[in-house]
Amino acid sequence: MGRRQSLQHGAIAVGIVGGILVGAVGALMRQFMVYFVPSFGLYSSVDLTVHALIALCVGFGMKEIAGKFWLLSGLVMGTVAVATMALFPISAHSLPPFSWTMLTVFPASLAGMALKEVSEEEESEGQIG
Amino acid sequence: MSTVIRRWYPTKSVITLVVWIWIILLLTISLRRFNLFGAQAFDLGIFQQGVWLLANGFYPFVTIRGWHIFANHFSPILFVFVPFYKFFPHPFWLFLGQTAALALGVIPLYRLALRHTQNELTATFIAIGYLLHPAIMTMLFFDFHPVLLSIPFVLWAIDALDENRPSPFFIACFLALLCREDVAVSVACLGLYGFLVRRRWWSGAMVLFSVLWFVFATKMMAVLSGEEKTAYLSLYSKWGKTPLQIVLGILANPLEAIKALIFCEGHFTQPGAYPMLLLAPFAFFPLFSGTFILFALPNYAVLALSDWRAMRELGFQHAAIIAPWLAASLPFAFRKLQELVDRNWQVKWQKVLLSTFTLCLTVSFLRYVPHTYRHFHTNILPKEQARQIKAFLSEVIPPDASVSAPSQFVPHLAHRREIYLFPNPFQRAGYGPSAETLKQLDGRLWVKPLKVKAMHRRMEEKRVDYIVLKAGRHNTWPLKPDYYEQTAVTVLTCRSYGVFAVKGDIVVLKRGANFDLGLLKLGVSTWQLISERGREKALEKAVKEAWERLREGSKWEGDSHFSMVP
Repeated sequence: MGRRQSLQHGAIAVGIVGGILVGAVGALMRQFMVYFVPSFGLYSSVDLTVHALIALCVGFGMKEIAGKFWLLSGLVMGTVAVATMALFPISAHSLPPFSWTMLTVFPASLAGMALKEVSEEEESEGQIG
Repeated sequence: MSTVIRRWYPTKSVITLVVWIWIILLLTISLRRFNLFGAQAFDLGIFQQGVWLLANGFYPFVTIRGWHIFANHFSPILFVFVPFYKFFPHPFWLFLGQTAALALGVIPLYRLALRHTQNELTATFIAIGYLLHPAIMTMLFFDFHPVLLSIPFVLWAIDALDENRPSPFFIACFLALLCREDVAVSVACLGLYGFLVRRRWWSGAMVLFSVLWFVFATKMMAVLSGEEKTAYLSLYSKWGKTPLQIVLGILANPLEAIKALIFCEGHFTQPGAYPMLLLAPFAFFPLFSGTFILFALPNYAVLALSDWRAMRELGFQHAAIIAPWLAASLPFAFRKLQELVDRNWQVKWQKVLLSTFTLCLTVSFLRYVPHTYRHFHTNILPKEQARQIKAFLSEVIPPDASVSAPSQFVPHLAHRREIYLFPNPFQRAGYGPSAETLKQLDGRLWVKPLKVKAMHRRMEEKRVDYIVLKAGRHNTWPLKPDYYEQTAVTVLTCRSYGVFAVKGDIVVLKRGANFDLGLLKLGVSTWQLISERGREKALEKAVKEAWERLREGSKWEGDSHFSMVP
């Protein structure tokens, strides 16, 4: 029971840190991309796509650490990624405006972990076969 | 455990190098700002004059602020600078002191981080992260403040408490208390944390001592300012009048207090942004440090629950109260996060943690630091112009003369017994120990210009040898630009003073100098005005026009000589 609980805590920690990582990479992309892609405004389709792709990659990469509680981890990661997008100040004085469109990032992290789970299952089935 | 800390890791060399580069860079920024007239009367001028008075054995009444130096803030640590000021009176020592102090905070933080994380790379990242946190680093962009000197002492005390070493803990706490009265909150919280969480009974003594120290310091401030209580308590008047009432007021209104803690706003900082500006650069990791961060809350409350909006802006010294707690929470947070994940994945997990931390720090640094740097460098003058002004002021104004000058000139004239921030001492603005003064400092209250006759009467009564004026609408605090210009014209039409020297857009008036000849330097002939009806009005109009000419048409390039009225 204790072991299971600690695994759950680990998965939650992975989700939280992963979500912050998604927000941070996204913020860094916003910082630089705006110079090259003028349409890279806050919550533009480019911005949301880039964030979703980052979430997908981070989720894919961190699934191993989350272990069998990847679903929990993915949900937490999605939530925290959305929260980080809303709470990481965009300047020395202001937070980004809230927009429901940022919720599109939420399923991406879950999808990243799910993809990894599928690929791991296929890999293990291949080894057995 | 101590062998882990004593061993010489290659990363220690990296930290040493970073610290040296950091010190040199930030010291250069501070000195450059001072040399190019970017430093202000509030607060560099205040501490310069205070330390200079102490060094020369005078009663330390700071005429810039209208207070005894220790009535403004109880910072006996300033005595450290006295021998240096005797040797060479220059704000270099103040800048060096606070820059080195902030940098030295790396040592206890690194020790703490190494002990908790057992990973030199993580400890190195934490130490460097502390130096680059926007709220910590930008404090050095704005003049000098003794409260910054408390940061390494509080970090040292946290390290000593963590390592169960009472003697260094007490010494560090005492030194921290010497920096400013409100550091007592930090020390009391630390004592309480040690007593309740770490079961160090001896740290409980520090709670009692810091409370007593706070009472003593605030009492001393009140006595030295000649008031019943220190004006700074008025910043929390919403919650109560005395410190105890304030604490009880906060506890009695928890919802209101929580709302204020989360949604506090600054001058420019939007509601809710300030706590994120503190947490985001450290990847929100301080929130995972467990009970430790709970003991930091009272320190944060000092900033968030105050009426003073500048407390919630990056670049101001107030973050020094929370900075050591934020930094010291990182080792605890990293350890907790490390422990949560299975040992098999530790290497990868470490990389994720460090990447997240580094990315958040990088983004925050790029987003907030250049902006804050520009904010504190908006008023700097071109190099050549600054050099000429410095030479002009030192040639025209004798070192022992009393002067009233605009904010940006005060630091360059501060080493004297009487130096006032214009329009003081003729009109009180940002001067003296009152709650109104604090409102003026925060831009919540502005003084209006006096009527011409009243101003002239005061100029006759108050004996100030020289007045410096700069034609322009920038950097006119404590007056609004319009009020400043109106007051300047009034001053120029007072016959107790005459224009003594003019250079570019700077006018120096001297008490008792020839009024009519002086105005000629501004192109105003009082002889022509004699024939006009309503002579005073005509004079005012002519001076106003001359002032506008001065503001619009002042040339600095190639203007190497200044004109002086004999």
